Amino acid sequence: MMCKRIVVIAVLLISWANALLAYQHPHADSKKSHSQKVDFQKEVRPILANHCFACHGFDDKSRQADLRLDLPSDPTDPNRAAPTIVPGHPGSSELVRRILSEDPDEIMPPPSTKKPLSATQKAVLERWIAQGAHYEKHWAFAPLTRPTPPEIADPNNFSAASIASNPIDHWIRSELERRKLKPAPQSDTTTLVRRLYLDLIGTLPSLEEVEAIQVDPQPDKIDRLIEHLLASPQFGERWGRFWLDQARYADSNGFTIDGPRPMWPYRDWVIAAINADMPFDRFTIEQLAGDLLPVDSNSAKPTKNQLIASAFQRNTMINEEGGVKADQYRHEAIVDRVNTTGAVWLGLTIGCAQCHTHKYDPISIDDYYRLYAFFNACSDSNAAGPTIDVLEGEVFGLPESVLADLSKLQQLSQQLQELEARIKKVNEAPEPELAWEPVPIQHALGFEGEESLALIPLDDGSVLVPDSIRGNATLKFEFVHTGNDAKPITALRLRTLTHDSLPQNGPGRASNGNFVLTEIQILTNKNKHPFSQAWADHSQPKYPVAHAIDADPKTGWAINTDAAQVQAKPDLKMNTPHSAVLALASPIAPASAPIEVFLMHEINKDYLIGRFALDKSTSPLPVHDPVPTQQLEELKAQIAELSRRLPNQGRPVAQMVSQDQPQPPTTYRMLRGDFLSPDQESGPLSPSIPSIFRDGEDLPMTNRLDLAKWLVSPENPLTARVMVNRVWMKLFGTGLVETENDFGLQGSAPSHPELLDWLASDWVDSGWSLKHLIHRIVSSATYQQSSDWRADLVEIDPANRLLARQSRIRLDAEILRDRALSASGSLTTRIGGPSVHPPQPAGVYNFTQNVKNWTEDTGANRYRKTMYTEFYRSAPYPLFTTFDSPDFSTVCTRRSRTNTPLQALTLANDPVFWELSLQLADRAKRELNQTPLAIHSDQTLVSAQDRIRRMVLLAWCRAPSDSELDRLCQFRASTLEYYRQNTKELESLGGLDVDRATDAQVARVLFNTDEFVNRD
Amino acid sequence: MLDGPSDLLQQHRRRAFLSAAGVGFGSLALKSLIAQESSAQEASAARGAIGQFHVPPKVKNVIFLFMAGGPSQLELFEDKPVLKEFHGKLPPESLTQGRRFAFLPADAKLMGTNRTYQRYGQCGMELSSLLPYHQQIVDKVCWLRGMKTDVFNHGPAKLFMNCGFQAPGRPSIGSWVTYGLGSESESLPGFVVLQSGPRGPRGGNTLWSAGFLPSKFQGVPLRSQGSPILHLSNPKGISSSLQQSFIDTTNDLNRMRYEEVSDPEIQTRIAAYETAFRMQTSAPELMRIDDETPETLDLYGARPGTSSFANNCLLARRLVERGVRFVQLYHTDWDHHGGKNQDINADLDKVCMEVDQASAALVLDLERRGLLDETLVIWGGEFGRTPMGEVRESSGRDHHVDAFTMWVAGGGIKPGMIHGATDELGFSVTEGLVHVHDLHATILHLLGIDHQRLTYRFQGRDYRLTDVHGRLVSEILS
Repeated sequence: MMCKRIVVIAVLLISWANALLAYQHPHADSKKSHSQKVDFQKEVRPILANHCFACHGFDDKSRQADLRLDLPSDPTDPNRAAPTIVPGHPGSSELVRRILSEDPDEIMPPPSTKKPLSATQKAVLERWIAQGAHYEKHWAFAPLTRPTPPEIADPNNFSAASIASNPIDHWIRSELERRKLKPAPQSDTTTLVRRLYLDLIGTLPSLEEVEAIQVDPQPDKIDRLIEHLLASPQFGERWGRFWLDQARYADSNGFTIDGPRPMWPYRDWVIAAINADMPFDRFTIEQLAGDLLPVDSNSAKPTKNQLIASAFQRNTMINEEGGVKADQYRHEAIVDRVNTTGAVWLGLTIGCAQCHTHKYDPISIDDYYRLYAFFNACSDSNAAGPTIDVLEGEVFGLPESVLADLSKLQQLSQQLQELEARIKKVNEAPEPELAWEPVPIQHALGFEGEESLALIPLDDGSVLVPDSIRGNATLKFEFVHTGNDAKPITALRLRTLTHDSLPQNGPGRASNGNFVLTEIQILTNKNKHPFSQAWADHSQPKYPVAHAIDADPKTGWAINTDAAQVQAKPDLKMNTPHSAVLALASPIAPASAPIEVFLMHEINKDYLIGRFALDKSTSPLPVHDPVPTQQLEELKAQIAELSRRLPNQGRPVAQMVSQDQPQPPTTYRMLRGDFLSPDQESGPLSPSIPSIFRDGEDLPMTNRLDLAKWLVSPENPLTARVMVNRVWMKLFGTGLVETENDFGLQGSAPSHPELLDWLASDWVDSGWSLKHLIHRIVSSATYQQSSDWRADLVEIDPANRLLARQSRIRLDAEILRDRALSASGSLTTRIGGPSVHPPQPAGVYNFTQNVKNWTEDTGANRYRKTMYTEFYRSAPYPLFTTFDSPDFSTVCTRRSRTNTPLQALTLANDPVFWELSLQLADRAKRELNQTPLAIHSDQTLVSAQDRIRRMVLLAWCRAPSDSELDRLCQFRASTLEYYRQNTKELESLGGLDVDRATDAQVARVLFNTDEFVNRD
Repeated sequence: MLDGPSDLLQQHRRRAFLSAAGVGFGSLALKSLIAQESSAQEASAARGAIGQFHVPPKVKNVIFLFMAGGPSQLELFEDKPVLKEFHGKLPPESLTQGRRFAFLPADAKLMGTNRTYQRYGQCGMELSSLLPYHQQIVDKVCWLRGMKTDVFNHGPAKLFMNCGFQAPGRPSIGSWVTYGLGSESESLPGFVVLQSGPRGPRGGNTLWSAGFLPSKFQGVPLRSQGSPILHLSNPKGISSSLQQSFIDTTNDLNRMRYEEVSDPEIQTRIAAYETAFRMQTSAPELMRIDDETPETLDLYGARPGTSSFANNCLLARRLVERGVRFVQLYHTDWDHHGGKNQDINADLDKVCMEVDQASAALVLDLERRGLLDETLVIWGGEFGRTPMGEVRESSGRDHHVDAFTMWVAGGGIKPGMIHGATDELGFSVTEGLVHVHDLHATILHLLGIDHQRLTYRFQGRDYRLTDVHGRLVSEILS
C-alpha cells in the first residue's frame, strides 16, 4: 500500500521528487547496489533483450513509441519530451518511472506481454543508469581479443607441472578460488584413459594399452596418449561425426518417398579432412564454396575433392512425392542452407528473420534475403542436379595398384566401346537380297538331358515340336549339302511357323506362343561354323536376333511385341510366322557329311520354338569387315576380371555437388516468408552479410565464396567463438556458452568469457587446427579431473558451470554400439566407404510409405563403426532414434541426452547386443586361454570367476570391486543353475554350451550397466 | 549428465535433496517419494512441463483417427447439388485463380458425386451411403465442415496436420502434449501410434517425431504383429524369471556405482529398467483383445489375431483406459486420384467399410464406459479433395486444401453440432473456418493447455505447436 501511494504521488510530482523516490524504493538489492559496478553484458543487456527489445528494438515493424533501446543514442536523445534515459540520473529517466509504475496503463513492460520485471531487474536498470548508462557492444559481436590468463593463488593445486601451464585452468581455477571452491582431484588413470579414448576416437582401449599406461612412470604419459589418439585415423571418424551432425548428413532424400542417395563420398571427405587436420578456415571455404574455387590464379578449376566438399550444401532434402512443385522445395532447400549457415558458423538464429525482422537480434528481413541471395544462385531444384562420379576410396587417395587397374580398365572400356561401335555398324547393315532353297530336314530330335524324342515332320517339309518336349530342350536335326556343281552355303534362314497345336498358334511353345532361341549352332564333323551376322523380320525389345549367335547362353532371340513396335507397325503380331537370316562367317563347301543344326533354349522354361523350317542360300554375301566376336569375348573377360579386383567393380557413384547458375535469379524480400509473395516493389536484393557485421555500410558481395571467406575472416568474431564453444560442449557436456546455438542477445552469457575468447583466438592463431584445440582442452587439469558427483556443489553449482568436476556424459548412440563392438573385439576398423547394414529388427518399415532396402551384412561390414550405418531420414535405424540421434531433417548443433525405458529395452533385448554379448564372452575365454594373466599363475583351468573378471575389464576397462564381482558371480551361478534345469531354453539359444550361454548373460549385464552407457 | 542443465536443475535438486536426506534408495522408494510429493501439490497440477494447467482441462486423453491420404468430403459429408448440375463444366476462373493443385491439369472439369445423401439425427447432418455406421453418432460428434490447411502434398500436409509445420524437424502434437502434461501410465509410453491399411503413412516416423523436444516424447509405434514395441520381448532363450534376475543384477551394480559417483542420473536409469520390465508385462496384456466380450468385439468388428483398423480402435480404448495420453491411429489408402485402385466410385467403398463401423463403435464404446467425457476423439485426413475430377485409368479427385471435413467428439465438445459451411461448389469455406492451427489450439485448450504458453526454446527461439497462429474455436466448446 505504501508503495502504491508513493508511486501515485510520484506520477504527479516533478523530477527531483522522482529521483528521491527512486532511491528510496525498497527493493531487494538496494543495500549492496550503489557501489558495485553493473556489468552491462551480464546484467543489463539480458533484461533489455528479453523484456524490451521486442517493442523497442531493431524491428521497425513492431517498434512502439519510435523508441529504440538497443542504440545508446536513441533513449538518451535530449530532444525527447521525457528523456528515456538521463545518464547518471535515474530519477529523471522516463524509463525508471515507467518500470516502477504500478498503473497498468503506464507500467513497462505492459502486463499484456506477460514479461514483468522482477524487483532485482528493476534495481539493475536503475543502478546502470545511475552509473552512467554505458552501453557495450554485445559480447559475441565484439572483436576477438586474446586476454592474459589470470594469476592463481595456489598453483600447487595442479597435479602436474605440464598441466599448470595450460591457461584453461587459470581461468577455471581462479573463478573457483574466488568462490572458495576446490577443484575435483584428477581422475584415476584408468578412467582418464577410457575418457580420452571415448572422447577422441570413440572406442575402448585394449587391456594392454591400459596396462602399459598404468605402469608407465613418465610424467608425460597422458600427453603422449593424447598425441597418439589425435593421430589415429579413428579420430577423423569420431570428430567427423560431430561435424556430420551440423552438416545434417543422411543417406536418403527425406520427406515421404525418402529414396537413397549416394552421399558417402562427402562423409569420406569430412573424415579425411579432419584426419589431415585441415585448417577450419579452409574446411569452411571448401564446403561452402568448393565449387567456386580456386582462390589462387594458378589452377584453373577446383579439385575433385573440393567439389565433393561442396556437397555440404546438398544435404538438404528432396521431395520425391508425386505432384510436388519443384520451386517450392527448391525454396525450402535454400532456406535450410541459410539457416544452417547461420546456426553452424554464426551461432545465430537467422531463421527467425525469414518472415519478419528478428525481434531480439539485429537481423532484419532484408538481411535474411540478402543471405538467401547467395544460395538462390544454386542450379539444383528439388532433384539431384549437378553430380560428379566418385569411386570408392577415391577421396582418401587410391593406392598405385588400384590406380593402375583403373587406368587399364578405362583403356579396356574404351576399346570395348570402339569394338561395340564397329559391331553395331556391321549389325546395322541391311539384310542382303539372297536366293533361298528349302532344305530337307532329317533326323530331327528334341533333347532334354539324356532323353531324346523325335520331332514330327510335316508334309510341307517343316517340323513340329510335340507337346512332350518341354523345359529347356535343344532341338537337333541334320541336312546334307552335296553335289558336284553345288556352290558353298553362304547363309541359312530359320523360319518359325504357326500351328494350331501350339499355344496361341505359336510359333513358340510358351503359353503366349513366344520362344527364346538362345543359340543356333551349325557343325560338320564336329567343327563349328560361326555366323557373322543375323537379321530377323521382328525381334522382341531386348531380345534381338543377334543374341542367338553371340555364344552367350543367357541371351536369346524372342518375338513378343511392345506398344511402341505395334504403333510403328500396326499389323505386327507375335503369333504369326517369323524368320531369321543368319550369315555364315565362312561358307560351307558341299560335302557328303551331314550338316548338324542345334537350336538351343537355355533360359525361360518351355520357351521353345514350336514349328520351324530351314532354307539355305548360296548367293554371295556382301563383303563386310569380319565381326571380331572372339576379340569381343576376350575384352569382356578381361574387364570382368579387372573389375572384380576393384571396389564396387570400379563403378563410380554420382555424388551431388553444388553449382551456381550462370544467371542467378533475382532475389526479393519474401513477404511473410512466403516464396509466392516476392516483394518486387521494394526492389531486388544483392548478396551480402547482415548489416550489423558491416556497420550498416553497403558491402556488395558476389557469391558463396565471398560469404565463406568472410565467415572465417578476422572481421567475423563469431565463427571461432561458436566452434570452440561447441567443441568444449562435446568434451564437457555443456558449452561455456550454454546456448551453444544462440550467441545472439537472447542467448546465455558465457560462464568464462575471457576463457572463451582466449580459446577462440588461440585456435585461430594455431592456424584453425582442430587437433590443436582439442589437445589444449583435453590436456587441461579441468578436463582431466574426476567426474564424480559432489554433494558440496549440488546447491552452489548443480549444472556444473564452474567446472569444479568433469561431467558424466551419456554416450551418443553411435559410440554406445561402437563401445560394445570394441569391448567384444568385433569392431572392423576400416575407414570410409558406402554405408553398411548391421542387423535391424523386422518391421521398421511397417510405418513408412515404402519399404527400404536393408540387406543385413554378414561379413566385416556387420561390425563397422555405427556412424557408417545407412541413415534413412523417414525411418532411421532404431538404435539412433532411441538414443537421441535426430533425423537430420535440419541442422543439429547439439543432441539431446535422455534416459528412458525404451533405451533399457534396446540394450537389454536387441539381438545386436545379444550377439555382441556372446562375442564378449568368447573373447574373454579365448584371451584367458592364450595368455593367462598373473592372477591365473597357478596354471589351473581358467575359472568362471576369471572369465567374469576379464569381461569386466574388457567392458569397463577396470577391475571389478569385490562386491561387484560377488554380485556378478552370484548372478552367474543362479543363471547356470537355471539353464541346467531348463535345457529347453538353452536349445532355443541354438544349442549353446551352458557355460558360454551363462557367460554371455553376464556380458549382457555389463552392457546394460550405467557405467557402460556413460563416459565418466 | 542429462540434457539442458537449467531445465533439469529443479529435478536434480529434488533428487539430490532426497539423496542427501539419506533415503535408503531402492529406486521405488525414490519414485514413491516423488509421487507423494507430486500428489501433495495442488490437485490441478499436471505432471509435465507446464506444472499447472493453464485452463481447466476438459479431457485427459486424445485419440486421433488419421485418415491418411485425404478422404473426399464430397463423397462422404458434403452433398453439393450445384456441383452435380455443373458436372463436366470448367470451374469459373475466379475460383481457381491463384490456387495450386498437385496434379490437376489446367482444364480439369467439375465433377458431381454419384453418391446418395440423406440427413440424419437431430442435427440433420448429411451423410452419404458410404458411412452407414456413422448414422449412429451424428448427434454425438461435432462436425467441422470448414477445415483448411496450407499444403497440398501428402508428406508435407501430414506433417502440417501433426506438427503445424510442413517440413520435418518440429515436434508432433502428441509429443507436445506428452511434453506438456506427461503421461498417466507408468508402464506404457505416453504417446502411442498404430497403423492399418496396405502400407505406412507417407512421412513415416517424422509424423510422430519429437522434433527438437527430448526424444522420450516421440510417439512409440505399437506393432500389430510380433512384439508390439520394438525389443519388448526378451531375446531368445531368456525367460521372464531370468530377465528379472538380469534386471536385478544390473540395477544392483548400478546402485554400487551410485555409491561411488553419486550421479542422480544413475537413479533415473535404475527406474528406467524397472519401468522397462513392467512394460514387458503390460504391453502384451494390452494387446490381448480376446479378453473383450464377444459383444464388444462385434461392436467394433474386431477379430483377435488379425490386424485391422477395428482392432486398433479397440486397442485405442484400452490404451486410454491404461492412462496413455495420446493415441494416434493411421489408416492408409484414402488417396483416390482415379488411378489404378484409386477409383473414387469403387475403391473408396472398400476403405470406408474398413473404418466406418469401428470409428462409430469407438465413440459409442467410450461413451457407455464413461470415458468419452475425458477423451477427445478426432477423425480426419491431411486435406480434402477437389471439386474438379481427375481422370486417369478411372476417375477421382485431386488434393484440396481450402475446404474439407473432420469430426471431433468428447469432453468439452458440443455434440451434434455442425460447424462451418462451404460454397455451393465446395471450393472455399464460407463460414466457421477452422484452420489446422485453430484445431491444434483447440485440442490443447481441451487438455488444459494455452497454446500460446506451451513453448520450447530451440535454436534461440521459443517454438510452439501453433507457431505464431492459432485461434481457439470456442464456438464448438460446450
